[in-house]
Amino acid sequence: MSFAWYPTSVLVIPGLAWAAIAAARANWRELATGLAIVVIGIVGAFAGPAGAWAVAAVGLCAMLLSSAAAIAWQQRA
Amino acid sequence: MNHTSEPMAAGNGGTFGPEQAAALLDQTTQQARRKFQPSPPWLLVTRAVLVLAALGAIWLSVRGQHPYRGPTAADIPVLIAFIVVNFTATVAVRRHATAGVSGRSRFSQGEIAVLVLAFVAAVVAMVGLGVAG
Repeated sequence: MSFAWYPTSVLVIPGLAWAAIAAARANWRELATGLAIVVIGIVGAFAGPAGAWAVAAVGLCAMLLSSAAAIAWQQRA
Repeated sequence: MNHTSEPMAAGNGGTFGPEQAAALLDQTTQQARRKFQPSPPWLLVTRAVLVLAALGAIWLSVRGQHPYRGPTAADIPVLIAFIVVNFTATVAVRRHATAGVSGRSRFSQGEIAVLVLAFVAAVVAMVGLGVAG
Protein backbone atom coordinates (compact mmCIF):
# COMPACT_ATOMS: atom_id res chain seq x y z
CA MET A 1 0.00 0.00 0.00
CA SER A 2 1.44 3.33 -1.10
CA PHE A 3 1.21 6.62 0.78
CA ALA A 4 -0.38 7.93 -2.43
CA TRP A 5 -3.62 6.29 -1.29
CA TYR A 6 -3.59 8.15 2.03
CA PRO A 7 -5.90 11.19 1.88
CA THR A 8 -3.74 13.03 4.39
CA SER A 9 -0.58 12.76 2.24
CA VAL A 10 -1.81 15.59 0.05
CA LEU A 11 -2.01 17.95 3.04
CA VAL A 12 1.68 18.10 4.02
CA ILE A 13 3.26 20.18 1.23
CA PRO A 14 0.42 22.75 0.89
CA GLY A 15 0.30 22.99 4.70
CA LEU A 16 4.02 23.79 4.77
CA ALA A 17 3.60 26.40 2.02
CA TRP A 18 0.68 27.99 3.88
CA ALA A 19 2.72 28.07 7.11
CA ALA A 20 5.71 29.62 5.32
CA ILE A 21 3.59 32.39 3.80
CA ALA A 22 1.86 33.05 7.13
CA ALA A 23 5.25 33.20 8.91
CA ALA A 24 6.55 35.68 6.32
CA ARG A 25 3.48 37.85 7.02
CA ALA A 26 3.84 37.40 10.80
CA ASN A 27 0.26 36.07 10.82
CA TRP A 28 0.50 33.68 13.78
CA ARG A 29 -3.07 32.36 13.57
CA GLU A 30 -2.61 31.32 9.93
CA LEU A 31 0.84 29.91 10.79
CA ALA A 32 -0.81 27.71 13.43
CA THR A 33 -3.39 26.63 10.84
CA GLY A 34 -0.66 25.67 8.34
CA LEU A 35 1.28 23.72 10.96
CA ALA A 36 -1.90 21.98 12.13
CA ILE A 37 -2.53 20.85 8.54
CA VAL A 38 1.04 19.47 8.35
CA VAL A 39 0.54 17.62 11.68
CA ILE A 40 -2.74 16.12 10.43
CA GLY A 41 -0.93 14.94 7.29
CA ILE A 42 1.86 13.30 9.32
CA VAL A 43 -0.48 11.70 11.88
CA GLY A 44 -2.62 10.34 9.03
CA ALA A 45 0.42 8.55 7.61
CA PHE A 46 0.57 6.44 10.79
CA ALA A 47 -3.15 5.66 10.83
CA GLY A 48 -3.29 3.35 7.82
CA PRO A 49 -5.12 4.10 4.56
CA ALA A 50 -8.63 3.81 6.02
CA GLY A 51 -7.76 5.39 9.36
CA ALA A 52 -6.21 8.35 7.53
CA TRP A 53 -9.72 9.34 6.41
CA ALA A 54 -10.84 9.46 10.04
CA VAL A 55 -7.74 11.44 11.02
CA ALA A 56 -8.42 13.91 8.19
CA ALA A 57 -12.12 14.21 9.17
CA VAL A 58 -11.52 14.80 12.87
CA GLY A 59 -8.29 16.79 12.44
CA LEU A 60 -9.57 19.21 9.82
CA CYS A 61 -12.86 19.63 11.72
CA ALA A 62 -10.97 20.45 14.93
CA MET A 63 -8.62 22.81 13.07
CA LEU A 64 -11.55 24.70 11.48
CA LEU A 65 -13.41 24.92 14.80
CA SER A 66 -10.26 26.25 16.47
CA SER A 67 -9.85 28.88 13.74
CA ALA A 68 -13.50 29.92 14.17
CA ALA A 69 -13.03 30.23 17.93
CA ALA A 70 -9.81 32.24 17.48
CA ILE A 71 -11.46 34.67 15.02
CA ALA A 72 -14.53 35.07 17.24
CA TRP A 73 -12.30 35.73 20.26
CA GLN A 74 -10.22 38.23 18.24
CA GLN A 75 -13.37 40.07 17.16
CA ARG A 76 -14.60 40.31 20.75
CA ALA A 77 -11.26 41.51 22.17
CA MET B 1 -5.58 65.57 14.40
CA ASN B 2 -7.21 67.29 17.36
CA HIS B 3 -6.35 65.54 20.62
CA THR B 4 -8.10 68.01 22.89
CA SER B 5 -10.09 66.61 25.80
CA GLU B 6 -12.72 69.33 25.42
CA PRO B 7 -16.10 67.90 24.52
CA MET B 8 -17.32 68.71 21.03
CA ALA B 9 -20.88 69.28 19.89
CA ALA B 10 -22.49 66.11 18.57
CA GLY B 11 -24.85 66.05 15.64
CA ASN B 12 -27.92 65.63 17.84
CA GLY B 13 -27.12 68.68 19.98
CA GLY B 14 -25.41 66.79 22.87
CA THR B 15 -21.72 66.73 23.74
CA PHE B 16 -19.23 64.24 22.39
CA GLY B 17 -16.21 63.64 24.61
CA PRO B 18 -12.87 62.09 23.61
CA GLU B 19 -13.69 58.88 25.53
CA GLN B 20 -16.92 58.49 23.57
CA ALA B 21 -15.04 59.19 20.34
CA ALA B 22 -12.46 56.52 21.21
CA ALA B 23 -15.24 54.06 22.09
CA LEU B 24 -17.01 54.81 18.82
CA LEU B 25 -13.76 54.33 16.90
CA ASP B 26 -13.19 50.95 18.60
CA GLN B 27 -16.76 49.89 17.88
CA THR B 28 -16.49 50.93 14.24
CA THR B 29 -13.16 49.08 13.89
CA GLN B 30 -14.74 45.90 15.29
CA GLN B 31 -17.74 46.23 12.97
CA ALA B 32 -15.47 46.76 9.95
CA ARG B 33 -13.36 43.72 10.92
CA ARG B 34 -16.50 41.57 11.16
CA LYS B 35 -17.89 42.82 7.83
CA PHE B 36 -14.64 42.45 5.86
CA GLN B 37 -13.67 39.10 7.44
CA PRO B 38 -13.38 36.74 4.42
CA SER B 39 -13.79 33.68 6.66
CA PRO B 40 -16.30 34.55 9.39
CA PRO B 41 -16.56 32.10 12.31
CA TRP B 42 -19.97 30.79 11.22
CA LEU B 43 -18.54 29.88 7.78
CA LEU B 44 -15.62 28.04 9.39
CA VAL B 45 -17.99 26.14 11.71
CA THR B 46 -20.16 25.22 8.69
CA ARG B 47 -17.05 24.07 6.83
CA ALA B 48 -15.95 22.03 9.87
CA VAL B 49 -19.30 20.20 9.98
CA LEU B 50 -19.19 19.58 6.22
CA VAL B 51 -15.61 18.24 6.37
CA LEU B 52 -16.50 15.94 9.25
CA ALA B 53 -19.60 14.68 7.42
CA ALA B 54 -17.91 14.19 4.02
CA LEU B 55 -14.64 12.62 5.19
CA GLY B 56 -16.42 10.72 7.96
CA ALA B 57 -18.78 9.19 5.38
CA ILE B 58 -15.81 8.09 3.28
CA TRP B 59 -14.11 6.61 6.34
CA LEU B 60 -17.26 4.63 7.13
CA SER B 61 -17.27 3.23 3.59
CA VAL B 62 -13.58 2.24 3.51
CA ARG B 63 -12.98 1.03 7.06
CA GLY B 64 -14.32 -2.45 6.32
CA GLN B 65 -12.21 -2.97 3.18
CA HIS B 66 -9.69 -5.80 3.39
CA PRO B 67 -7.59 -5.18 1.35
CA TYR B 68 -8.04 -1.43 1.10
CA ARG B 69 -9.37 -0.34 -2.30
CA GLY B 70 -10.12 3.34 -1.64
CA PRO B 71 -13.35 5.36 -1.72
CA THR B 72 -16.28 3.72 -3.50
CA ALA B 73 -18.60 5.16 -6.15
CA ALA B 74 -21.12 5.88 -3.40
CA ASP B 75 -18.69 8.43 -1.94
CA ILE B 76 -18.55 10.55 -5.11
CA PRO B 77 -21.94 12.31 -4.55
CA VAL B 78 -20.88 13.09 -0.96
CA LEU B 79 -17.62 14.65 -2.14
CA ILE B 80 -19.33 16.59 -4.94
CA ALA B 81 -22.00 17.91 -2.53
CA PHE B 82 -19.28 18.99 -0.09
CA ILE B 83 -17.30 20.78 -2.82
CA VAL B 84 -20.39 22.54 -4.26
CA VAL B 85 -21.78 23.69 -0.87
CA ASN B 86 -18.37 24.81 0.41
CA PHE B 87 -17.51 26.64 -2.82
CA THR B 88 -20.91 28.37 -3.02
CA ALA B 89 -20.82 29.51 0.61
CA THR B 90 -17.21 30.71 0.34
CA VAL B 91 -17.80 32.68 -2.87
CA ALA B 92 -21.02 34.23 -1.51
CA VAL B 93 -19.35 35.34 1.73
CA ARG B 94 -16.28 36.74 -0.06
CA ARG B 95 -18.43 38.65 -2.55
CA HIS B 96 -20.39 40.16 0.33
CA ALA B 97 -17.22 40.97 2.33
CA THR B 98 -15.39 42.59 -0.58
CA ALA B 99 -18.34 44.39 -2.24
CA GLY B 100 -17.18 47.89 -3.18
CA VAL B 101 -13.64 47.21 -2.00
CA SER B 102 -10.74 47.59 -4.42
CA GLY B 103 -6.97 47.46 -4.17
CA ARG B 104 -4.40 44.76 -3.46
CA SER B 105 -5.71 41.23 -3.01
CA ARG B 106 -5.16 39.27 0.20
CA PHE B 107 -2.27 37.37 -1.39
CA SER B 108 0.47 38.70 -3.66
CA GLN B 109 1.06 37.02 -7.03
CA GLY B 110 4.20 35.37 -5.65
CA GLU B 111 2.28 33.91 -2.71
CA ILE B 112 -0.47 32.60 -5.00
CA ALA B 113 2.23 31.01 -7.20
CA VAL B 114 3.81 29.33 -4.13
CA LEU B 115 0.43 27.92 -3.02
CA VAL B 116 -0.45 26.65 -6.52
CA LEU B 117 3.01 25.06 -6.90
CA ALA B 118 2.62 23.42 -3.49
CA PHE B 119 -0.66 21.81 -4.55
CA VAL B 120 0.83 20.73 -7.89
CA ALA B 121 3.89 19.30 -6.10
CA ALA B 122 1.63 17.37 -3.72
CA VAL B 123 -0.37 15.87 -6.59
CA VAL B 124 2.79 15.02 -8.56
CA ALA B 125 4.34 13.41 -5.47
CA MET B 126 1.21 11.32 -4.85
CA VAL B 127 0.98 10.22 -8.49
CA GLY B 128 4.69 9.32 -8.36
CA LEU B 129 4.17 7.29 -5.19
CA GLY B 130 1.13 5.62 -6.73
CA VAL B 131 3.04 4.63 -9.87
CA ALA B 132 5.99 3.39 -7.80
CA GLY B 133 3.57 1.24 -5.79
